[in-house]
Amino acid sequence: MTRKRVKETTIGSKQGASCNELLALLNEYVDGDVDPAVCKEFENHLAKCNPCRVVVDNVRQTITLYRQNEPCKLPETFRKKLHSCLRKHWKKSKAGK
Amino acid sequence: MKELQKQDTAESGLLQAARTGDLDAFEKLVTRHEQRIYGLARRITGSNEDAQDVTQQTFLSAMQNLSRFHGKSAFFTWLATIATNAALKVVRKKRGLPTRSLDEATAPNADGKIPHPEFIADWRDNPERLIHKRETRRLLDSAISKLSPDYRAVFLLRDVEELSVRDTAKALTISENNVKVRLMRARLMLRERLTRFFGDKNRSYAPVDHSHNDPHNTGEQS
Repeated sequence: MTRKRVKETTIGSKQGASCNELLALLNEYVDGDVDPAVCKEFENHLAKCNPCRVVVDNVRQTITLYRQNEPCKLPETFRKKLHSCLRKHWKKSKAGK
Repeated sequence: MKELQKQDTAESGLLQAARTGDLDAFEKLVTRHEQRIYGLARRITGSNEDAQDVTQQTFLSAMQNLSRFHGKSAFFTWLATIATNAALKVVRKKRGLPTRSLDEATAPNADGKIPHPEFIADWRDNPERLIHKRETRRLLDSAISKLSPDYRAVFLLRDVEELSVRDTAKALTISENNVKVRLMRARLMLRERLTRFFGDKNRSYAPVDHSHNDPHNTGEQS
C-alpha cells in the first residue's frame, strides 16, 4: 500500500502480486469479474496480506451496508400529490390530442 | 428467476396498456417504482424536498415520453436514468456548478489514479448487525454526502441499484471505463470513511508496502 515502492510485476508472475496490483483489480475482484487464474493469485495474496484482506472485506461490507440500508420512505402526502398531478397532466395531454 | 420473469411480463403488459392510453396502467407502473426512484433521488440530492421534485419530474417526463421507450433496457433503468440526471442537475445548480456534467476528457477524476487506503481495520461488527443500529443511517448519509455528485451517482446506480456497467455508462453518458474508475474511487472513499466509524482500532493494520520478501510481515500494528 505504499506510494513509493510500486512493484513492477504483473499479477500471475513468479514473484507474486503486489498490493498495488491487487488494488488496481479490486473492482473486478469484488464484482467476481476476474479471470480465474488471476483470482487464484489474488486469493494467494490475500491469504498472506492482512491489510489487503481487510481492505477487500471493508469494501464488500461498505457495499452491503448501502444496499441493505432502507431508503427514506416516500411520504404519503407527497404520493397522493404526485398521482393527482400525473392524472391531471395525463387527462390534459389526452384532451389535446 | 420465475418471479422476475412474471414481473417483467406484467410490466410489459402495463407498458403496452399505458401506451394505448390506459391511465390506470400507468399509475400501476408509477406505484411499482415510485419508492425506489424517490430513494435514489433522496440519496443523490440529500434533501427530501429536492427528491420530491425530482420524482415528480421523472414520472412526468416518463409519461410524456412513453412512446419513446422501446424496452431495450428495463423500465426501471430508464426511470433511474431520468431521475439521476434530474437529481444531478439540481445538485450542480445548488453548488453553482455547470448543470451538465463536464466533458469526459476534462473530467478531473477520470485520471485513473487510485486513492490509497489510509485507515485499515477490521470492523467491530458485521453489516447485518450494523444496519439495525440507529446511528448507522446517519453515518451512511454523512459518508455518501461527502462524495462528489458524479461519484455518488455512479456508486448508487452500480452498487445500490445494481445497474450494469454498460447501463450506468449510458445513464450518465460517460464511458464504461470512466464508470469503473469513478466506482473504484467511490468505493475506496466510502470504505475509508466508514472504517473510521466502524473500524476496530485494536485490529488495525499499517498501510505499508510489503511485497512479501519478508514472510513474517503481515502488516499487523504493534
